[in-house]
Amino acid sequence: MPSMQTIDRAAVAHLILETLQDFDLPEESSVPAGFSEHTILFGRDGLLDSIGLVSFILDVEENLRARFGISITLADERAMSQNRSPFRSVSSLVDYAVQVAAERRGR
Amino acid sequence: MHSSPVMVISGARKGIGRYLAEHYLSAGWRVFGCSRTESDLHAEGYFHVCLDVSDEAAVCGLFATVREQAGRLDAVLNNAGIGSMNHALLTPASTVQSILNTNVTGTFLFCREGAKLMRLAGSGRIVNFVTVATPLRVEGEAIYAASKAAVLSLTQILAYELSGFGITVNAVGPTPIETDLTRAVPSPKLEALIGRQAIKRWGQFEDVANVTDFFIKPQSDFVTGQVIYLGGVS
Repeated sequence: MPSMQTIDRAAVAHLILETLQDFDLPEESSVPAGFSEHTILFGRDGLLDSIGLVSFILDVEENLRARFGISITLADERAMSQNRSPFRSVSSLVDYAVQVAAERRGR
Repeated sequence: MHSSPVMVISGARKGIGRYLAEHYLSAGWRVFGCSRTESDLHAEGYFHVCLDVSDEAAVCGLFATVREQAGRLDAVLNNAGIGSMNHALLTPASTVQSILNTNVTGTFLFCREGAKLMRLAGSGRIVNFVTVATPLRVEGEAIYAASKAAVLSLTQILAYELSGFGITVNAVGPTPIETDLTRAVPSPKLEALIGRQAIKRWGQFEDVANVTDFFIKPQSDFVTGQVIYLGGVS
């Protein structure tokens, strides 16, 4: 298990894309041929409905804990109050997860 | 790998929680109990953790332990609770905060962390504990009853929010039972309260277990957001 000292953005992006690959998307979703950081998760043209987003965020948190040994809460008040939701796309979620993980490490 | 089901019970050191821990251990469950102080219950399949149920980090730690040691969670019984029999005009804010922390925040944290584990299996049972003091509007129990009214509301809304994960959330409302909580209440008050029940007798631990048995059994997967008050109170 890599420690938090070695976590970088690419590792988090890889983990989130893997989590998305494994995620059980609703049948009515228009699933693209492949996922990338440009993939829209939530909101207009997003893959996930609100309950799907909850499950997906929990899966990401669980995988971050299992692989990197860090327990973080992604869906906190700060995330919910941002004008640009960190859950809009894979890319924005990666950025937010890296930011929260770094803050956690700095405590 | 164990196949026996796993349960978390808060407030498991004494009273109703202790009875339920022993009841479910004897039925083959593995039980993770918790309380503020150590338990003298030592039995195969029983694990005890000392914590304050309103301490978020400690509660997360308890459920991490359940995940690591048992790898599954089938039921949570949110039994831990405190009360304070006092006239509202004599109740300090610190008492209000303490009751809300234990009864509302604690119940919420156990629901949240329990549901995170249960959703991995796509099923689970949460039973919260409310009180007949709420529907009976018992004087002197304004804050206790109000805190349990919040637990009831939490139960009903979580029933909706967690149904997509196959998790049911229900509540049981015991009548007065002889526990530390009721020993602090004057006898005439309790007798008057029991007199307002449809069935006028003290509750027994077995009465509570009968309801939790019903809520957590597999066939109750279509029962959620419900409260059962004992003694015919409604």
